[in-house]
Formats: sequence, C-alpha cells, structure tokens
Amino acid sequence: MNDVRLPLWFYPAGYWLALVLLALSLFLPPLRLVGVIWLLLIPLAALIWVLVSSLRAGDRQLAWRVSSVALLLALVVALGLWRAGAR
Amino acid sequence: MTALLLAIGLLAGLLGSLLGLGGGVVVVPALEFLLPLAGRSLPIQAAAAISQIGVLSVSVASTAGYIQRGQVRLRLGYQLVLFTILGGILGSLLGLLLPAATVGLIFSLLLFYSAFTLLRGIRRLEQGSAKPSRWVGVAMTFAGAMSGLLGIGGGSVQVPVMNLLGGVPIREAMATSTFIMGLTAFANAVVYSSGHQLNLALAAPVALGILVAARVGAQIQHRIPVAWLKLAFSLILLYSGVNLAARSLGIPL
Repeated sequence: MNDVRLPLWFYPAGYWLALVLLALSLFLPPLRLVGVIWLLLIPLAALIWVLVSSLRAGDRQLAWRVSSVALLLALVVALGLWRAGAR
Repeated sequence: MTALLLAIGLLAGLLGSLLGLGGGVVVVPALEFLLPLAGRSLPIQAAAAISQIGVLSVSVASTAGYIQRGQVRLRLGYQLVLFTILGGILGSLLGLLLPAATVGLIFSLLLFYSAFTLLRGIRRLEQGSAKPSRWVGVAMTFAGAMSGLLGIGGGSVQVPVMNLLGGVPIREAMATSTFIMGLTAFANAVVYSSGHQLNLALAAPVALGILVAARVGAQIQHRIPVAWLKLAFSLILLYSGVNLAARSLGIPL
C-alpha cells in the first residue's frame, strides 16, 4: 500500500490563484465572489484528491475517513442551501 | 472601506504569523472597533462570519509550507476534522442564535485568555506522549465549537489537545491543526452564509490582506523582536477585551 500524500504543488497553486483573483478584485469587484469561492474550494479539492488517491492506493482506512468528512460537508452544504432558501 | 478591510487583513496575517495567533483574534475585534470609523458597523456574528474566510486564508497560506516540510498528518487530520466540523456547526448555529451581547462577552473572555497565553506561553511537548487520551474527540469538538461561535481558527485549543492529549509532536500538531482549520472554516462559513451573515464582498479584501501578510510574516519572523511585540499585542488584546465586555454588558467607558 502506497503512502497517500498531497502533491507539493497543490496548496501553493491554490494560494497563488486565490491571491491573483483577490488582488484583481480590488479593481474588478465582481471577482471578489470568485476569489472567495476559489479559496473555499481549495480544502475541498484537497479532500477529493486525497479520497481518489486513497482509493487508488487501496488505503481503505483513509478512504473511509475522507469519505465521512466529504459526506458531512455535503450534508452541511445541502442543509445550508435549504436553510438559505427557506428564509 | 476596501483599504481599511485590506489593512485589517494585513495586520491579522502579520501578527498571526509573527505571534502564532489565528487571524480571528485580530479580525473580529478589528472589524468591531475599526469599521465604525469608516461609517459602517457590523454585528459580532457578521464579523465572526467574515473571520471564517480569514481563518481559511491563514490555513491555505500556511499549509503549503507545512506540507512541503512533511509536517501535516493527513490520516490524523481527516480523523479529527470530523469532530471540529461537528463542533463548528454547533458553534456557528449558536453564533446565529445567541444575542450579540452574549457572543461579545464570550469573545472578550477569549481575548483575555489569548493575552494571558501570549505572555505566559503554553505548555508543550516537543515529542508528544506515547498514549493518546480518550478525551481528544471531545476536546476537538469543543475547539470546533469555539471556532464556529467566535470566528477563530481554534488552534489555541487544537494544538495543545493534539500535543498534550493526543501525543502528537508540537510541530506536527501545529501543522495538522492549521490544515484542518480550512475544512472547519468552510463548514462554518456555509452555516453563517445560510443565516445571511456572511458578506463575501467584505471578506475578500480581508482574505487578500491575510494571504499576503502571512507569507511576508513568515519571512521576516527572525528579524522582528517578538518579545516586545507579544507584550504590546497582549496589552491591545486586554484593552479590546475590556471594551468589548463593557459594550456587551452595556457599561459606558
């Protein structure tokens, strides 16, 4: 079983793209939303990366843990959307 | 207004990286006390909601370096983050339900505690202990609840819990705590957003400031006399804590 890791470029790439989007948003305010949403997506993308990597590596324990986190977050988002719509 | 929000983010990112504080301890009081100078005031819940995006920025900026140094424990992180997310949801819902004065009073206690730990330092084990305690899950849920309620990263609770109760060496505890803060902040931000408290337009300049300053702070850390900075910032925290407590209790200062 291979040791599952995040690639070294993953977070720096997310960081720099977020920085560029948010810096541009100082001049183009509609990009504020895009920049913050991108920032929110970075840990989620890491979660999906680790989930896929752990499934490929046959690391069932890690895959189970990451799937549980993904399910919980999916539930939070679904309930959040429902609650926001209901108000 | 944008310049002020950017300055708040820069201050939070710089002090966070120099003093090892999460951004929330700076962002929330700064939004509460400085934003009215620009003619806009926010309820503390809205400040805590914006601070969640700040915490996320700290997490993204710092995790890159921690992963490169191999200090993040992914397996442990994804196990413990379940507790911090559950706690965070509970804390964020409490933040939406409790009166602003109550949240303000609890936050002022956090400011006093932060000033105290900044001056005294926290107990830490370089190597960690051998046997993890059964209370780690409960303590991490509490850390998550505080992060959701107050808009803080929760590192001040998570790191000692992982280090002293979980047996994780201090550097790995700090790295893993910073890594999981991002996911906890995501869940908290969704809860606050569902309660229409998260203003993404105000959060963006704060996030930008933190992203820039966290990196700069890490590079100039060894050139700054941190002892004096700790003392000065502790006094600011005490002053902010007294003001916030007085305002929450309706006592004019």
